[in-house]
Amino acid sequence: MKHWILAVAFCVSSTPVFAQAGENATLPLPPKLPPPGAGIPDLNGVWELPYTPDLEKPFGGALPFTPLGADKYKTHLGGDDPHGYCQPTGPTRAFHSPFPFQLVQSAGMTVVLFEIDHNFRRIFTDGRPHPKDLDTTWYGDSIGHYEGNKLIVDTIGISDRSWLDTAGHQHSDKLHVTEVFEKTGPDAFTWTVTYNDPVYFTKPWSITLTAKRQKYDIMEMICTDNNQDIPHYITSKPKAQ
Amino acid sequence: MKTSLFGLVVVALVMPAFAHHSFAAEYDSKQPITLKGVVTHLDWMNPHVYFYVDVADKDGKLTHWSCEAGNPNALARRGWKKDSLKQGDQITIQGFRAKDGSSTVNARSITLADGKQVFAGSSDDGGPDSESKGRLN
Repeated sequence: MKHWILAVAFCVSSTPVFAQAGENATLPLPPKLPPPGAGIPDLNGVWELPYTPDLEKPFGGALPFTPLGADKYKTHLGGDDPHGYCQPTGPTRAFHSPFPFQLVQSAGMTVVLFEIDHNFRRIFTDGRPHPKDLDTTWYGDSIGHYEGNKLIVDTIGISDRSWLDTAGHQHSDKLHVTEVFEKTGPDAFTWTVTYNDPVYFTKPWSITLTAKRQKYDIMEMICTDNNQDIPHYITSKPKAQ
Repeated sequence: MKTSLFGLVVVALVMPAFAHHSFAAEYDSKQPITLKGVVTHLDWMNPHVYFYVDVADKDGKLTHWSCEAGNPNALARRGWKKDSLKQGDQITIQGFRAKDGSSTVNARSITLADGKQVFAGSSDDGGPDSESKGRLN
């Protein structure tokens, strides 16, 4: 409360330049939605995970690469990053980007509204299986179910065009992602991801990050709005738009 | 200066996070640069705030620099507003040059005309002073 008073006091002062770090009283607050139902962990809200540009940090060392996976990681240039050209993040990288996201739960489906790229994921919890003969897409196909205070999500059909992180860890279209959203308190949940890709990795590997409820609403973030970086990238590939 | 109690003593050089591209994809950590000039324009747009500065050399010849700052949403949450930097503002920028040799700089911090140093919000991912160092290419 004290912070808000300070922030408001600042905003009505005569020189509105920079508010206190981490505070901006003019930004909208997250919408409050009713709980999703009895027996289901309430994940509704605006959340953010710690920014994790390199998955080796939470993993605690080098990933269990196959020779191909190691070569792809060692030989890329930062300017090859598809997201540098505003191409999509894929299903998991958006979660550990430095942008919040909103979870919207309803009967049979949870929607993830990512601030980054103004994009979304749908996680079906109505008992359906993955489609047969699934074509790969940037975000893949996600189905989930609840176990106690956990939402467990299974995703396949992920295009190999996305990167797993900003550091340049990559994957094949055989990638099979399992995510566990475990509510650990009113304002926190853990997000445990297991990456299983026999083409790039010798064995499944996992990371766990803790999401915290945010005080601010998600905002619009259109990556293509003014991407002036492209001409300056040091890349090994023809420059794409 | 009442406002300084609340706002202007912003933590300098605490790097913000940004995922759009890695620092090393575009900028050279071995080419730090300090620019002192006048703001000519600011684009408060995604994925990065860009502002433009005219810098005069000792003979008065102007060079136009493009300065990349952080993401506008992230900067807004830290207290920035669209008019935090305005045309005509005298500022000093500490940052790093683009690898391609253009007059482009990744701004790490800005010192305003009154001497206050503020957080610019630049690319993270392996850049100098980053909390999370990615791979330096």
